[in-house]
Amino acid sequence: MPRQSNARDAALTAAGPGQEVLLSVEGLTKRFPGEGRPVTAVNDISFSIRRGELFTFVGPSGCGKSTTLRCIAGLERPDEGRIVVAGRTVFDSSVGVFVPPHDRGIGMVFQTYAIWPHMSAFENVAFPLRESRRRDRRSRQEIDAAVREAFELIRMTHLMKRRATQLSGGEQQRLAFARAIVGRPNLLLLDEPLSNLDARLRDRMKFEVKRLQHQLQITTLFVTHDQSEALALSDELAVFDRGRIVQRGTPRQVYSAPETAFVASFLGAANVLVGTLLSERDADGLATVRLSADGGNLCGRLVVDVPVGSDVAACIRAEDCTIEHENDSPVASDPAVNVIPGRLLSSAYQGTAVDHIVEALGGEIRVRSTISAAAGLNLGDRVRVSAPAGNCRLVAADVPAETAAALAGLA
Amino acid sequence: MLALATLLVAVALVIPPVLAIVYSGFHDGITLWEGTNTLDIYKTLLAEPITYRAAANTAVFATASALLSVTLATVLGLIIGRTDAVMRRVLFFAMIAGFATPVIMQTMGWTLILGPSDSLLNAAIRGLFGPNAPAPGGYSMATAVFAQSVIVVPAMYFIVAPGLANMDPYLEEAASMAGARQSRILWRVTLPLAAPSLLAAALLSFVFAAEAFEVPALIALPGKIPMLSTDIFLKTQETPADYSEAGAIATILMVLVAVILAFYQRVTLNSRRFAVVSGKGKATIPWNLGGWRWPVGLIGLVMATMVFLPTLTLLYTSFIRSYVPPSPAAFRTLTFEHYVNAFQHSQLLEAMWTSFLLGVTSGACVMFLTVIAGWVVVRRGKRAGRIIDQVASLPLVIPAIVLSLAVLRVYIRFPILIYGTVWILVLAFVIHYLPIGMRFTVAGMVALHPELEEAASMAGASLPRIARRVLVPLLRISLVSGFLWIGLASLQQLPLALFLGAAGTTVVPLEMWSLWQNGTLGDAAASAMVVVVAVLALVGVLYRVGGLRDVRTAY
Repeated sequence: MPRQSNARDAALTAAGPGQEVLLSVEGLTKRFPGEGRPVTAVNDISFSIRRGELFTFVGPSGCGKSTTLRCIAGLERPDEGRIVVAGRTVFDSSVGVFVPPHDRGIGMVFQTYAIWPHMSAFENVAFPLRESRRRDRRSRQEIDAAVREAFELIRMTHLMKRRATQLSGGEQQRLAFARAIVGRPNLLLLDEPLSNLDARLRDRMKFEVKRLQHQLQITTLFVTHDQSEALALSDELAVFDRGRIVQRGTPRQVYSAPETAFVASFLGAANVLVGTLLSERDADGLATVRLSADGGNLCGRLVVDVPVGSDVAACIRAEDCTIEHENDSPVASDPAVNVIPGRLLSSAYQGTAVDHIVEALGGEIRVRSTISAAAGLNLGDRVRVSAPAGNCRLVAADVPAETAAALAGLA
Repeated sequence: MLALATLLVAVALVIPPVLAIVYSGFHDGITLWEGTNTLDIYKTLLAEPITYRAAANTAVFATASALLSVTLATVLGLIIGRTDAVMRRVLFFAMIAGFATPVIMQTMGWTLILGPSDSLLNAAIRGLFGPNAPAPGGYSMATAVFAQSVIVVPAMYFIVAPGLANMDPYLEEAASMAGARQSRILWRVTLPLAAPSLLAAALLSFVFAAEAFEVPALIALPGKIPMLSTDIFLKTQETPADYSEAGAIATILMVLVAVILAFYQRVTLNSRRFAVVSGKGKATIPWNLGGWRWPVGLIGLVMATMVFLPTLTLLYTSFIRSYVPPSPAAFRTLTFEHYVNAFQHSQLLEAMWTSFLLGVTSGACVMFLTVIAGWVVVRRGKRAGRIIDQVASLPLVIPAIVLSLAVLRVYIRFPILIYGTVWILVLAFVIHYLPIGMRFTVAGMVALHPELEEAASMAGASLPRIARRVLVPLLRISLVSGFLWIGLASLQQLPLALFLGAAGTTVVPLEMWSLWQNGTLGDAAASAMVVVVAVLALVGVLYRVGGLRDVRTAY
């Protein structure tokens, strides 16, 4: 007995608040039988999450983020790797450990909520407590109290006796949350829980999830394909692409400093232009790139270490550009600002801003302007787009130009 | 593990009877374990002209009744599903009642209506045109085809009606905007779109007729029209019984059915590409018949009456001392004596008890097996699932009468003696209704999102607990429907029980068959009426739990 408590004490002292690793995943690989040869859905992924953190997997559909989550849950059996939850190895391919999902003590909210229609709201939430293993099974009063507490947390005590089928989508979503946390799991998994809600409700639930997670201090792994959800909620996020994590960091780090064209376009850079690096980094960290589309030159901040002559991608956010009429008096030539001539193809009013599509640089670029700046512009006008070099990031060209453009269009 | 165990059980149930029947045709001996293997059986059989006549008769009978029944069902489907004709609801319930009435009873009724000498038809013609008018009624192929067609019309209705009623309304509205009148839309859009499902229904109807025993035995046999199903029966009634030739004929019938069902499968696979039923949830607009609402409704009512006519005839017969066509004189002999006889002197009560046991046991066994097998098929997919699905579907190609014979052949010498007990009947029913049970559980399971089970797993429930607390409660409508459906069959299925009932383990349809054969018409009719009441009560329950919506998926 003393040995055991010593070990626990050691764990507690070693891991100060917010430092203890709660989930660690090493070399996780999952293949699915495809037509002919297996498809690798998750490709040698490793990462860890600290206790109390809200960590997000973000990426387009089919990038492996949900499969990774399901492997952690135990709903999929990985082919290789090791998963440790709260110090307990739940999967290890090298020694053949596979703890079934019902013994992992993990809570999960599903995309469809998976509220059992044949049970009342109360029974849905009580289910995990009634199913818990014999030795820590609770009395009826304890279960009642725990369920009530969970309903208070989601502010739905008035709906406790309802049939599950009588609840609205948002209420079912919160019920699913209550069911996932009622047993006080070590880890909470959220599999695109907001994607089935309409836009307004989704926006509200974003804050609700954040509040609940903060209140409970529960380690949470959140999966989404929506970059705005990922940026809004996460303490830390990982961008997935084709079964791998391509970048991880805090939302601010990843948003402001994307390392690849894929990450940049997925997280909302409207313009990703592929080209060849022409010069070394200068004293300001700037370099020049020749664009493949029209041979024009663009100046930007080089954030990858690649030799001159390599393929790179220039990423410019729509809101970092300014647009003016060609006839407006030109500003003094500044080498730190790219001035791009073009022709206005289309403008769309967005309430607080106006989005423009400009024919330029051998393709189309997107520009967001204030309403006043857009005032004198008509479709077909010759325009001048200015993009400060400091906001134009030159990153690794990891995706073909068309894919990047398609992703940017989605974002 | 679970997949493997399920597969083993399915194989152990289904494969031995199939092998036994095929082997019987190549084996000369009173049981499968004595005698010699030989090709002579087929040589003799194929040298006899009667074999070819029986096969030809079966083909003619099945083709003609397929065409007639699907035509009638289509007309009814259009009237009920697509028009504003009067009395559509009555028609719909007539279909349900007709569907539930045991075939043996309906056939008995039809012999009284369309048979020779004093049948209703002949009496009516005589009444209208004088005593020397020709008598069209008799035991002929035409009578057999007509009776078989009307008997399967309700089943065919349930198969074709959804395709006709749930058609994507936009397809017809587009034709309407293109300038087509309603009648043109019917011929150029509606029916061509429904064609694959109508063809599928016709193929099924063909199979039902080819497998049928009741109509061939009660109408074709007395009319000296041999058919394959009655031939199988007759071979077993010879002394000594010729199980080898019976097995050979059964194999031929099984092959015929398998070929047609293979076509059926191709047709239904293709018809899915037509995407007639779209999930738009927009109802089709009923055709406005205007002044034709009443005449069309009456046509429908006439058809519905035909479905009821055999039962009404039996009702009449059960109250008349000895059968004569209806007349004022006949109604003066009204009596309850047949009902008294049915309960006192026949084994009706005993048969009803056995049927009840059989229905409950086989229904429970089938649903228990298929809920597990269905789960493996739907959730585990993969190779084991596919094989289980195929093995469990195999009984579809075994006609009931063939399966009855096959089970007798395999289990008459089983180490545990089950012949002469209700268990041999249970076994046959379980095998026969395995595919239907699968349809119910698989359809129910497919409709359940896997996350409902995964959520339970994440909540700490092990597989058996998930089954008990989530799966079975959510599938209860499918399970109860399947159970009642199979229970109902124990009151209806004559050919499946034909060789397996023994003294003390006779079931209701067998008892009616033997009363009929003994010529005690009134007693047979009275017991039939008792059964009708029981069956309709069961169907009422089935309707209430919503299981009749699954009628179509049962095929």
